[in-house]
Amino acid sequence: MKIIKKYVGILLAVVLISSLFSGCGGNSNENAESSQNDTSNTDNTTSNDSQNTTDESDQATEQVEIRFAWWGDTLRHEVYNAVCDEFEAENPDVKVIREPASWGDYWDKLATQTAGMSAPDVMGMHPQFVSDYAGRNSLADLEPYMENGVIDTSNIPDTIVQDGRVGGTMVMVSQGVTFTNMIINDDIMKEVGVEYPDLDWTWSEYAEIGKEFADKAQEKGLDYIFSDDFSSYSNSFRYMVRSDGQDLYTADGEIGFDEQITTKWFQYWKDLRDYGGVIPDAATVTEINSLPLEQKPFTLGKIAVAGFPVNQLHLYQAQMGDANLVPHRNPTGDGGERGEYLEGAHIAVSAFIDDKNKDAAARFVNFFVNSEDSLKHLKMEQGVPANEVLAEYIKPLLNESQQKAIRYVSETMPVAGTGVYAPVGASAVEAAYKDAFARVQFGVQTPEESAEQFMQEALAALEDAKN
Amino acid sequence: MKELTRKQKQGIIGYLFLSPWLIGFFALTAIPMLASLYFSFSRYDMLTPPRFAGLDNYTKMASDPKFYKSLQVTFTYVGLSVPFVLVFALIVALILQKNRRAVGIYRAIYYLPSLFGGSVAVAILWKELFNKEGVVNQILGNFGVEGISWIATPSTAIYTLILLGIWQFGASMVVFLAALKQIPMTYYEAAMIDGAGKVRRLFYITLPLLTPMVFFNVVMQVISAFQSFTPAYIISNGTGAPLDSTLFYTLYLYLKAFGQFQMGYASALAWILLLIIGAVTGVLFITAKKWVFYE
Repeated sequence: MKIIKKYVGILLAVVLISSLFSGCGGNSNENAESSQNDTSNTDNTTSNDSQNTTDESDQATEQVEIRFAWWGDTLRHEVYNAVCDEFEAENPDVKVIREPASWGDYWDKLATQTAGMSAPDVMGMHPQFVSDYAGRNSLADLEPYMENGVIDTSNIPDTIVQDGRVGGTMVMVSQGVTFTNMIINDDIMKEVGVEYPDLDWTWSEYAEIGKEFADKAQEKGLDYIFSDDFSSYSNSFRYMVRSDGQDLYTADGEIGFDEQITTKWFQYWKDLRDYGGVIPDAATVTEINSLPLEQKPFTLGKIAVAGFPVNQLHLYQAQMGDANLVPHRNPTGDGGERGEYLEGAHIAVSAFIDDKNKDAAARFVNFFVNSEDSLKHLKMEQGVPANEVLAEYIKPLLNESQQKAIRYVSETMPVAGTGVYAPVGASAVEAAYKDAFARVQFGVQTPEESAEQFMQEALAALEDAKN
Repeated sequence: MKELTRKQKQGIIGYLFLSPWLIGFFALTAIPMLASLYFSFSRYDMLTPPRFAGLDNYTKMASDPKFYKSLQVTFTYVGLSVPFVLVFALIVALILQKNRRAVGIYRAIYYLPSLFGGSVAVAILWKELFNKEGVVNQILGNFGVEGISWIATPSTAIYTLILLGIWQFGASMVVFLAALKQIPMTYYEAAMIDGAGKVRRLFYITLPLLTPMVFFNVVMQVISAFQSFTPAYIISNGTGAPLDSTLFYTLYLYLKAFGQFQMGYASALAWILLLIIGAVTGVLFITAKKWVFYE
C-alpha cells in the first residue's frame, strides 16, 4: 500500500502542476476556441494551397498578396469567396488570402491581430467597433485613394461616403445600407384580425395595437404573442432615444441620453409585459436572445412582430415558406420624431501595411463596392449597395424577399440621419444595458431603479475607458 | 579531455531531447504566465501597449459586484457538483466492480459522458433538453405538469449546469474502479469470518482503503469545476444570463478580456482564481491528514 501512496502523490503532483500551469482561463475554454479556430484554419489552408499552386504558375508578374478578413455564416463565406475569385481573375497580380470567421470570433481575432500589428490588409468594419480601431490609428486613411480615383465614390451618395469618416479621417467604405427595424408576419395579423398603419406608427399606437392583438387573440383562443420584447435590443433603445432628440453618445464621446428616457423606455415595455399576451415573459425572452434564427418563435410563426436588420429578411423568409413578411419602420415619437440612422457593415484597410499592399487593398475595396462582378454575388448581402447605379443593377437579380428589403431601404433612406459612432468603452455600456433590461424583465428592480443604476454604470464605464 | 567533451556532448544531446518540452514550457506556459502577471498590474486593451497601473485592477475588483456574483455562482457550482460527482462515481463503481456479464460495456457507457461532457455539442444538447419546448418539459407534459424554461429562469439555470457537471462522473468512477481492484480479497475474507456484514465491510474496509483515491478525485474535481467554462458559455450564449445566474468566474473573465478588451482586469481575475484554487487545494491537503488513510 506504500506504493499506492507514492502513486497518488506523483499523480496529484503531475496533474496539479499541469492543470494549474496550463492557464487560468480553463482548459475547456481553450479547447472550445481552438476547435473553432481549427475549422477556420482549415479554410485558410485550403485557400492558401490553391493560391500557392497558382502562384508558381505565373511568377513572371510581380505578385502582391493581400489578406481579407470578414465575418459571417457559411452562406456569406461562399458569396465573399466568389467575389475574391472574380477580383483575382481581373487582377492577376493580386492574390487574396481569405480569413473568414463568425461574428464573435471575428472581433476577438481582429483585436488580437491588431495588438500584434498583424491585422488583415482589408477587413470588415462595423460602426459599433470602429472607434476602437480608428481611435488607435490602426486603420488607413482612404481619402488619398478617393481623390486619385482608385476608390470611386462618384455614384455613392455623399451622406454615405461621409459616414465612413471617424474623428476626421476617412477610414471605411460602406458595404451596403440597412436598417434594424421591425418585421411583421402579416398572416398572423390577418388571422387575429388586427389592422396596422402602412409605414409609420408611434410608440403609443404600437402599444395600442399590441393590446388589441392580445385581446383578440385571447377571444379567438389563439396562442399568438404580439411582438418581441424590444427592450432587449439596444438598437431599439437607440431609436427611442433618437426620436427624443438624443442619441446613445454625443459627438465628443459622452453618454448622450438621460435617465428619464431610460426609465420611460423600461416602463413602456414593463406595461406591455404586465398586460399579458403582448410580449413574452422574461424567461422566454432570455431564451429567444440565445436561439439561432431557425428556432426563434418568430420564425416558427408564434410571434407576429420581430426585430432584425432588413438585409436578413431573405434568411427568415427561406425558413418560413410562403408567410407574408412585411418590413416595417420602428415606431416614432408621438409627434412623428424619427430615430432612423444609416446602418450597415463597412470595409476598411489596415494602416500597418506598406504602400504596395495598400494600393492593392484600395483596388480591392473599389472592386468590392463598385463593380458588377462583385455585386452580382453580393446582391443584398449587407444591405442595399451604396453605389446607386449598382443598386439598380442588382434589382433584377434579387428574389422576392430581397426585393421587399431593397424597396424598404430605398423608402427609408431619405428620412434617415447619421448616427454618432460609439466611443471607446461602449462595449462595457452595452454589457451594462443587458443587465439593466434583464433586471426589469425579471422584476428584481423597478424601471426607475434599473435606469438609475444603468446610468451610473454607463457613465463609470466611459470614464474608466478614458484613463 | 576526450572524456569531458563526450560528457558535454551527452549533455547537449540530453537538452536537445528535452527541447520540445522546454520550448513548449517557456513559450506556452512560463512566458505567457509572467506576461499575464504583468498585465494584471496594468491597463491593457490589446490595441494600445499596456500601461502600468499598480494595484488598480485589484482594488477595482474589491468593489465590483459582478466579481462577487461570479464567485458566488462558481462556489455554488463547485460546492454542489463535486460531492454529487463523487457519490455517484463511488456508487456506480461499487456496482460495476464485480465481473458480471457485459460489465465492460456498462463501464464504457458510464465513462463516456466524461469524455465529451465538456464539449460544445453536449452543451447545445443540454440547452435543447431544458428549453421551454425541451425534452424535459415534454416528458413533464405527459404527467400534466407545465414546465418552465429551466435554462432561462434565474432560480433554476445554475442547476441545469450542475446536473451537466454531475453527469460527467465517469472519470472519477474509473479511478475508483481501479482502486477497488487493489483492495486485497483477504481483508474481506477475514472480515467475513469475523461475521462482518456487507455494510460493515463497506464502511470498515472498502471506504478507508479508498480514501487516497477519494482525496485524489476531490482535488481533481474541485480544480476542474473551478475552471468550468464551456457549458455556461454555450447555454447562456456567452452572457451569464439570466440575471448573471450562470456567470461562472471564467465566463466573467472571458467577457472582460474579449468582450470589453479589459485584458489587464481579466489577467488580475485570472490570478485571483489561481490563488483561490491554490487556497482551496491547500485546505484540502491540510484536512487530508485527518481523513486520508495510507496503510
